[in-house]
Amino acid sequence: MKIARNAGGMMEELEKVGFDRKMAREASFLAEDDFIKEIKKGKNVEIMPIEEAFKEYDLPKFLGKKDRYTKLVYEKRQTGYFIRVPEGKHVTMPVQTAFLLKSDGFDQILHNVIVLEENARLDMISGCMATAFNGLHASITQYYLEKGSYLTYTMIHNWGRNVRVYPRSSAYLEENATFISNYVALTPARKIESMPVAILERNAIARFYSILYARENSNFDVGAIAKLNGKGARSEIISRIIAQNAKVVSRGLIEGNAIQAKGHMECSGMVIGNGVIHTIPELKSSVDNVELSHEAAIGKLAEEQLNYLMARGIDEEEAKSLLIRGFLDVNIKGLPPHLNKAIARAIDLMAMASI
Amino acid sequence: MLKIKDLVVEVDGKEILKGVNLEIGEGEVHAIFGPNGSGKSTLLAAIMGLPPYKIKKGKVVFKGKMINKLPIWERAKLGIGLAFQNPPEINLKMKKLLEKIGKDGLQEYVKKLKMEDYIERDINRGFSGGERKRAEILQMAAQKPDLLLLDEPESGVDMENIYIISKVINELLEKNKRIRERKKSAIIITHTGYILDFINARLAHVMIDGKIICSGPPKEVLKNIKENGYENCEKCRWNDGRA
Repeated sequence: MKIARNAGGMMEELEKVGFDRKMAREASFLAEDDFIKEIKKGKNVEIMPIEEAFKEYDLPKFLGKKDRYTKLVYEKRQTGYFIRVPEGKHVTMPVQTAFLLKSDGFDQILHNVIVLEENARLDMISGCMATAFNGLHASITQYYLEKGSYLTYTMIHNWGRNVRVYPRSSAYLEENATFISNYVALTPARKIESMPVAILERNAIARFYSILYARENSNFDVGAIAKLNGKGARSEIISRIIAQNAKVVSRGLIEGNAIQAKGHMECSGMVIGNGVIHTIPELKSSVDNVELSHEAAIGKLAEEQLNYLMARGIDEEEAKSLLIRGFLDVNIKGLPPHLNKAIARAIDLMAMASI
Repeated sequence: MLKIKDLVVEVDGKEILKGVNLEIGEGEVHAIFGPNGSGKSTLLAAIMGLPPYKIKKGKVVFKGKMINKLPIWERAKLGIGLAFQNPPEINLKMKKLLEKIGKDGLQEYVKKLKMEDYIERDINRGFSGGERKRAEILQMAAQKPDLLLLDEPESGVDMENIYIISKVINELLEKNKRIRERKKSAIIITHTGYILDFINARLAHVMIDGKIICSGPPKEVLKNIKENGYENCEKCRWNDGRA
């Protein structure tokens, strides 16, 4: 059911996905359906609509697999942002962006490009949400990280039961660059399909964290690919997943293509009710002297833990929600504390509110 | 405070408690001795309502109310608190749990139990034996139960920690008040009896094979066990033949 929200209510909804006017931000970008509602420029970053950037810059190529959704973006792109951090600039406050799917049945088609020049540093918080009853969100997001640059990108999604979501992303990491990508999806969606790919040169680091709570017949198919192409490149793909009457396919591929590359994949899953979690971790090594590993564990709410909490006077429903809350609570290394807090808040507001 | 009558408890069809009778008055502390597997922990689990133990026969009456069928949390809310012997590790910050249990004046106990650094961590994750016991007692301090069930509070704990834990337990049991004014009661399961050097128990019971076979002054019962072993408990002069 579509619920009409007033402007104040809308801001609250946006705050859930991290777009918060009350917080200190370097710059902001907000789009509704296919138009840009707000661009707030920053002193230390360049931010502009993607259309302008295509005219002004020779933008890098998308490095992921091409499919019908990337084709859709190339042919029917509506809007998106371009963000560039100049060489050596360390941006202390995060840049926030948000995309809102507002009209029922709308197909939102976006293209975003983020470039960090040498030794630049940026934290981004990016929210996507729908108030529309149904619709489609398809996008390409490209990250280009020059030598020694450092990007944390925290994406929080809040879709609707009948929304289909196909983000496509690729990251290119030059020598010594670091990319920390966090994906948080805690509310239902008919389909989310996302598999960002990162290509890492010498000593670059890419870490992917996913915190997923799939419910109410949601279907998530998510993961990440890291290609360790340079000597000493490292990657981690870590996910916490709850499937409650929903299906999650959790994928991961780490390719060790250069010596001294190191990769680790870790998936912890919890199935509640008629949930399905299917983990598909893949490791591929094409040279010797690489170190790749993965571990996965899927369980249910542990009865022993539940009883323990209930023995403290906490009723069953609340004890369950505490355990779910605790399971999803991951302190992400390398992320500024206020962004870890933003994730914790998203969990409180979205995962806990409806239990 | 607590009356247990002819309690028979089984797990997966096997009888563990075979007719236990026990009565604990307001302000009383009782100790339970017994060999491994005699049913001591099962008795506490049955009072708390923890599965997989099933009450087949008998009654557990707390504050005049029969609680055989009450869910775990309602028993806790009525005033029963259990310090677990082997508490689980949980993906949940200790602090969050304490906030949920939530009673005032907890900060003082956090200090007394030296738990300042631990309340920021996940419950029991990477805690040593002594730290786990301190964490259990801290949760008891948050809960402030009227009946404290302590399942081997001193096992795997060094002397310093036994001292810290006992001090707080004594506070929770209102040992600073006159005997007549004390309202809080406890059951302490102990193997070694060390804890009884720090916490005064009024009465000790010996449980063997699911039955309480003798009851008497804790120090003398313990002495008798140490000298003659459990097998001679039946001949002990404190054995009043109740079992």
